[in-house]
Amino acid sequence: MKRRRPGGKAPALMLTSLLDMFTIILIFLIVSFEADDEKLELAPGIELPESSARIPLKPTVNVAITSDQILIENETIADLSRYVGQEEIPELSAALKKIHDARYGQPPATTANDSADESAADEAILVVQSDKQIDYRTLYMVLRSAAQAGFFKYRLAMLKV
Amino acid sequence: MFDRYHRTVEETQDLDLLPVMNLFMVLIPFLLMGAAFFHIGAIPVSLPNHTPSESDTPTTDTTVTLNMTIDTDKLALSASSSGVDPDTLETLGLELPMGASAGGVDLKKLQAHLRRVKAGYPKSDTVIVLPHADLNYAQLVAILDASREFEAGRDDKGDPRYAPLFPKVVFSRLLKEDTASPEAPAAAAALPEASP
Repeated sequence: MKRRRPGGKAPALMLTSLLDMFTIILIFLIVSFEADDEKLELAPGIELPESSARIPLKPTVNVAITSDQILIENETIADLSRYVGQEEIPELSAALKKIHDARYGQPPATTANDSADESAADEAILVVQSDKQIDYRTLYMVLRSAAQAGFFKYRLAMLKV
Repeated sequence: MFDRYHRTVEETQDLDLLPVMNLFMVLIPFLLMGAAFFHIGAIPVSLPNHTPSESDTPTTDTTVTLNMTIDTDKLALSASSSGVDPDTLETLGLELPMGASAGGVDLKKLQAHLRRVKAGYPKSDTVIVLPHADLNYAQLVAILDASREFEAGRDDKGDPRYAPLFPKVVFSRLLKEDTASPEAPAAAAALPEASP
């Protein structure tokens, strides 16, 4: 036989423990919340190397180098297996040139060799995400192709340690 | 009798936590969207440019440009400057064997040498890196980390404080005289290649 509570009131939910949990989650999220950080969308299949680099990324053109493909803003541009032993990737140069001309106009006649100077707000800077297993040959090929398109300065994306 | 009953009822009344829960349910999804579970940093690099008005070698006697050649078996460091005599520049050179460690080379020795060069020529900030074609990217980053800055003590909060070494990194490519390699046509060895 069921026993009825005196007064017939339904039992209230015990929310205290749930509230404790939410408080911990809230504190963790507030600590990890960084409004200033550029939200870089990592390309699938890329494992960035770790670095002590602390320079923040700025919104610009993203090129990703996976083990077998080159992507611009997560869109596949070229298959690396076709360019073994090549100096440049014409498809990448053409795609980047289109973006460069649309965003920054025609490439300047001369460029400064100063990689740390970021005074010009509309400077053409390329963010390069590379898998930590790729070789320098591939990286250099991508940078050269980008230089053909008018991008002379690069930011290599790293996982901060 | 009545007082005791009234006190019992008051004691069993819970706080109404539902508004707080509602607030949390709004705040948590908002913060989840903005949370950064990993932090991305950047290493600024550039390619060498051919500009007729500029020279790669420094024009003042207070700076030197380092050339870091990373080969399969060794890392060689040399310095160039228009204002420093060749004998002094010779003393700034270094050769380290490439091993199986994280950067492929003894990074502490490399950084110690770079700190000595930086101490002698504080305004120097550029290193031209010439890695071999098969150098692993993670190894290259480890070497760049060692050459860009060093930990110079702790601040008041106990966090590490970093001082710059050679933060301006210029990537170039090592050209060898080996004509058998498809990407190394007959050319002078270890010269920075001018980008178009």
